Amino acid sequence: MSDVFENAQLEDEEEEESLDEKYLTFMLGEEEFGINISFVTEIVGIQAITFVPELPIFVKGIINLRGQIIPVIDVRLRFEKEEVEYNDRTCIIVLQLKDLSIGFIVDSVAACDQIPNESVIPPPIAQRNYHQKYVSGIGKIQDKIVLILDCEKMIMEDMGLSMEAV
Amino acid sequence: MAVDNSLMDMFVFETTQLIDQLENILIDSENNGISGNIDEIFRIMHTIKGSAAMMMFDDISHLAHSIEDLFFFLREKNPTNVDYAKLTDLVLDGMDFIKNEIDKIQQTGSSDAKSDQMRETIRQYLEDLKAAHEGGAAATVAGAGAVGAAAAGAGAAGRAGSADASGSVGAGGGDDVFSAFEFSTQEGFAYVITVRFEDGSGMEHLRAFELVNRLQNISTELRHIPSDIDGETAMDEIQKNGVTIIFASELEHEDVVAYIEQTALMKTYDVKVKALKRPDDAAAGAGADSGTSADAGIGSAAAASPAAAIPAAEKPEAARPAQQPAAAQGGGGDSGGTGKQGIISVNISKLDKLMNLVGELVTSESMVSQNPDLNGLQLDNFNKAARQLQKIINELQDVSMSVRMVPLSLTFQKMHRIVRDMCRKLGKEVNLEIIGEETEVDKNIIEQITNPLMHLIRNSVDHGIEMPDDRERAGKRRSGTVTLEAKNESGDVWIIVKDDGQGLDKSRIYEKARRNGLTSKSREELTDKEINSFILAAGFSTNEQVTEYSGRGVGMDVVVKGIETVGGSVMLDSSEGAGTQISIKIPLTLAIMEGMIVNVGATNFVIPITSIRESFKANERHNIADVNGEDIIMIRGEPNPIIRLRDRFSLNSKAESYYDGIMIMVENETRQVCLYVDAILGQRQVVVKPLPGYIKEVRGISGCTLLGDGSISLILDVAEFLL
Amino acid sequence: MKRVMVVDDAMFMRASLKMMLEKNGFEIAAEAENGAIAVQKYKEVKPDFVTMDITMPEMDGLQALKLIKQFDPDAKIVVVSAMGQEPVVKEAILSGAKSFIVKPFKEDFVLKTLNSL
Repeated sequence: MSDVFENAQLEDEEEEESLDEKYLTFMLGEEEFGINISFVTEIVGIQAITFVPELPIFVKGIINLRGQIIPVIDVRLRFEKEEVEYNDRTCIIVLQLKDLSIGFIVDSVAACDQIPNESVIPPPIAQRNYHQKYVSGIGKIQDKIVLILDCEKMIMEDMGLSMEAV
Repeated sequence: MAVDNSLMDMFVFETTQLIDQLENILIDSENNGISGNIDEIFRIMHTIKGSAAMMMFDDISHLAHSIEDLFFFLREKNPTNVDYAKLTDLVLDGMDFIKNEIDKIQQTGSSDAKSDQMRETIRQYLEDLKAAHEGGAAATVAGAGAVGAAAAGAGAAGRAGSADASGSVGAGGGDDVFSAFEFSTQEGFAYVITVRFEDGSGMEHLRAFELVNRLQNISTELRHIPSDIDGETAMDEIQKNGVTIIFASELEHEDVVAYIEQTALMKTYDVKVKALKRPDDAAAGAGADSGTSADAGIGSAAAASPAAAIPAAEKPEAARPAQQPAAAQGGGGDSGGTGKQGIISVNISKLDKLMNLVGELVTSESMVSQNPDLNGLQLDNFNKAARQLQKIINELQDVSMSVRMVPLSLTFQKMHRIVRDMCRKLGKEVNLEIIGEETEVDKNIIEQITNPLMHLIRNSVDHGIEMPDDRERAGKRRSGTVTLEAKNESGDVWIIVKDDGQGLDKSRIYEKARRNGLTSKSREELTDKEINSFILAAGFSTNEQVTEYSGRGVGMDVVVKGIETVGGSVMLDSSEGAGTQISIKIPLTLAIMEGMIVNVGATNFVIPITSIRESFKANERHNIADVNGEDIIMIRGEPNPIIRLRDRFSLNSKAESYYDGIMIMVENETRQVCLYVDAILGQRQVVVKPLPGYIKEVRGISGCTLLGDGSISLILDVAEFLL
Repeated sequence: MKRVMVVDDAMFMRASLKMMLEKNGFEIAAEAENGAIAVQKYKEVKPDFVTMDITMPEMDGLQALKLIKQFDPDAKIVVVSAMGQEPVVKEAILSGAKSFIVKPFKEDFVLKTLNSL
């Protein structure tokens, strides 16, 4: 997992201009999802999560990231999929959107891929529920399909918050 | 001049400070006389004048100027029979104008009101003063406020030979300029120089004076046109036509030019030189009307690059947090030399940063000294050293907190003005007594409580204290007393606003409360305190009219909210006919607190020590009963509801019966409950961190903290359980 | 780099001047809020120039100027005055002030003045 990230960094340095076409991809079961790399600040292995009561079920709680306290979301639960037990491949992808830092708990991190905008097609309208809400596009790399996620929506939807409020 | 945000901040800050200072001086002067303060008032106005002019807020600057003139007169002439009340009003009005403009400036960056009328009023007042003082024709003070007769001893002109200003030196360009002047020296050179100064450079006659003064060192037979370089006419003359200086010197042309070039702010200079020879050699030199004409811009401007091209360089130390513009650290003035206590002003963002770092230091220290790796090791030396480290860190923490502490005096003193104004306008007589103003609170807190306090004071004067006649009829003294008191008490600061007015009308309050649906209980079921407290609730109002000062009851709950924002609480007590007292409790320390770590299932909580009365393990001897579905435990005859944190937060916990875990008795002024937890893990000083903004408020949790082993513990909001 | 000491009792004025000067390549060697401190700091810091406000508490600019000139006759001091302070400015010149600036001053006047000394 860490070398995926190292590769990501190297590639970042070489191809700064195409940052907005670079995606970090992760697995949930058999499906591969992608997040634009510009949001990702780091990836850490699953660690102790402190439960906070009275939160939506997909907000697992908070973690201590080198002294900074960050909320974490279980992506499976966000997609209303069944929860699985965490293992040593489970990762937390730490994202930063404006002033908000947040972690996504995923089954495992897959790769850091370049997906040029031309290879991204809008999601079909008739889809299962969670796809509709959070997938902003479908990317194709060779034979692989990567579901590109709208991070802001994933974080903010149904939380009754605005970006400014956090 | 490009206006920098930080400069604007500083202008606003300093001017506001000065105005506050001035107000206090004036109010004090009403009681103790003004003469001791005139000089300081003058200096304050002088400073505001200068700064406002720099920022191009001309109306403010001119207004300050006219007040400065007024006080200049008072200082110099010390007239008797001055109507000081009128004087104070005038100045206070001026202060209000400036304050208003400063507010506008803070919001919008510009000031638009005109001060002409006010200036005219002040000018008229000054004229009257002068007339009265000099009992006759008022001496006209020169417009620019210059002192009277300038000392005539301009040494420079003294040595001049017969200077004649009527000679039109400039006319007839081709003529031999030197023919107009006579020189007795027959050695060296004769010079005629004309210097024009930069437009707007100011006091051009003095610039001329400076040059003339300097030229004395290298010349003889010096004279100048205009011959008189004192006074405003000279200044105007020189502004228009420049100054012409005629002299003889041993120095060569280039040397004289170099000498002249050391003069600041010259626009142009013209140097004509002629060798002075014996009469028989005159022919050789005549007509050699050589000289240097230069656009002074070349010489003196050489080093000055166009200001616009250089971007503003930021001072390295200026803190620049995301939202706030950085104000450079002010006042390097460590006045150790004058024996006064050195004071500097520091940007509050730096203090915030300091607090955060100290907080992290406390956490880090516990992560080291309580690191799980050390469990079970025998570490005497290490422990000793760790204790020393803790001791030092504690001290550092105390000091860094005290750095942020500011006495309430400035805030309290503001209230004098408010009371005074209100009394005047409402026709009441009120004495404001201030006690304990030296009490200090965190700077953040001061900002949050100033408005609520003002509101409370206004309430007291407007609704509390009765009109003098009414008071007399009620057997009270005609003038009412409002007491504003601050004191420290076990980790909290108390601020109490008390008046001896008419108190709260409980019947009216009760009726209003019922009408607004705040209660459904009958009058008898409620205690007096509970009835009075309705005033603090949102959506309550007994004022049928909106007065200018207090508005609708929408004020009180805003006051309460403001206090609660800083973690404080408000209590109210009143006695009809006798008066009302409002007590505000504010926690002293914000971010670091002493807490007890408890455990419920897999979750750890921190309970603030200050809320804990005692903790114990329940056993059969304790009387635990079910009362209306609520479990109650009797302690020393008092019923304490038991709250299972496990249930409140839906946690998994093994502790079943009340005898397995621990009871933590927590309390506030009125209630007492027992929190039931699995175990106590210890007591520790913790750094309070807010829950991430993404996580909306969780009832019962007020924040979180990092424990020594890196785990996160939630901080319990005890108040939630004491409702 | 030319080193300047900025003397004025108003924090705002000091800040304005410092900003102007630093923007244009001067180094702020020290600042002082009254004449007494100015004299003391001058001895410690030995700046190349001094901008000296006239009206200050404790010790005014004129007095400070005279004192500094006593132990450093070559001191390059520019007094900063408001309109209407002619007699003081004059005396300052006679006491050795190299030049003066009139408030409110413009940036290029300050620079030109210092650069011409």
